[in-house]
Amino acid sequence: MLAIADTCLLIDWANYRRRNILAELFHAIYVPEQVLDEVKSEGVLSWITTNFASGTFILFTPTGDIINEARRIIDIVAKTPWARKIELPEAICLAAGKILGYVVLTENRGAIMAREILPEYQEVRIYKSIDIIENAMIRGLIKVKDRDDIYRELEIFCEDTKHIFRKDDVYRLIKRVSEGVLREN
Amino acid sequence: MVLNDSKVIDKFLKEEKEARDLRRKMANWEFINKQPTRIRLALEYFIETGDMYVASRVAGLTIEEFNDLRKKANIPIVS
Repeated sequence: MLAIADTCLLIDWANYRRRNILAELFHAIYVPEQVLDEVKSEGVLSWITTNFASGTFILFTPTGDIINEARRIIDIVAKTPWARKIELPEAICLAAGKILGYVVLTENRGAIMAREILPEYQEVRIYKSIDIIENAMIRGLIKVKDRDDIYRELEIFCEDTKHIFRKDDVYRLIKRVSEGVLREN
Repeated sequence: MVLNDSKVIDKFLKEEKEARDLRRKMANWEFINKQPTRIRLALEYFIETGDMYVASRVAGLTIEEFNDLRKKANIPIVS
C-alpha cells in the first residue's frame, strides 16, 4: 500500500514513540518536498532522512496535473460557504490520492471535508492518526490483548503528540480491533 | 457538483464546534497571553480553526516550530 503524508501529520508523528510502525504498514510513503522546509530539529530531520535512505519515505514533487487539480479543489471549497478552507499542501495530497491512488495520511479537517463535498473524491482513502493506529493494532504491529491495552496505546499517542481523539472514533476503533484481534486471543 | 446534504453539513459543523470548545478549554491562556502579538494571534487562530499550516504562517514559524509551541500552550489536536 502506497501513501502520501501531509506535512503536519508527519511532523506530529515524528514525536510518537511508535512512529516506525509507518514503515511496516505501508510499502512506501510519499513525502511532499515542503516537509523538508518545515523541519529544523536534528531528531526529526534524522528520522526523515533515515527513512529516505531506507526507501520507506520517497520525496514527492507534484507534477503540473496534480497542482492544477489541487488548485481546482481549493477553488471549489472556497466557494462552499460552510466548508473549512483547504490550502495547497493538503490539496496536493488529496489530488495525489485521487489521481495516483495513494492513501492520504492527514488530520486536516479541510481535506476531510473536501472529500465529503466533492463526489468524485469520495473513493479516496484518508487515514487519520487513529486510523493508522487501528490498522497497526489489527495487523499486530501494536500488540493489544484487551480493551485496557487499547486505551493505554491510545493514551501513549495522545501523551506523545498532545492529541485528543473523538469519542466516536475511539468506540469505532475498539469495535473493529475487538472484532479483528481480540477475538483471536 | 458539490454535495449539499444538510445532515453532513450539520455533523461537520457540530464536530468543528466540539473541537474548538475543547481547544479553548484546555489551552493555557496565561502562556498564550504572554506571547508576542504575532505568536499570540497564531495560537488563537489555531484554537479557533485547528489549522496548523496557516497558524504556522501567521506565527512566521515552520510547522515543526509551531507544533512545539502548540504543545507548550497545551492546545490539543482534536481529530
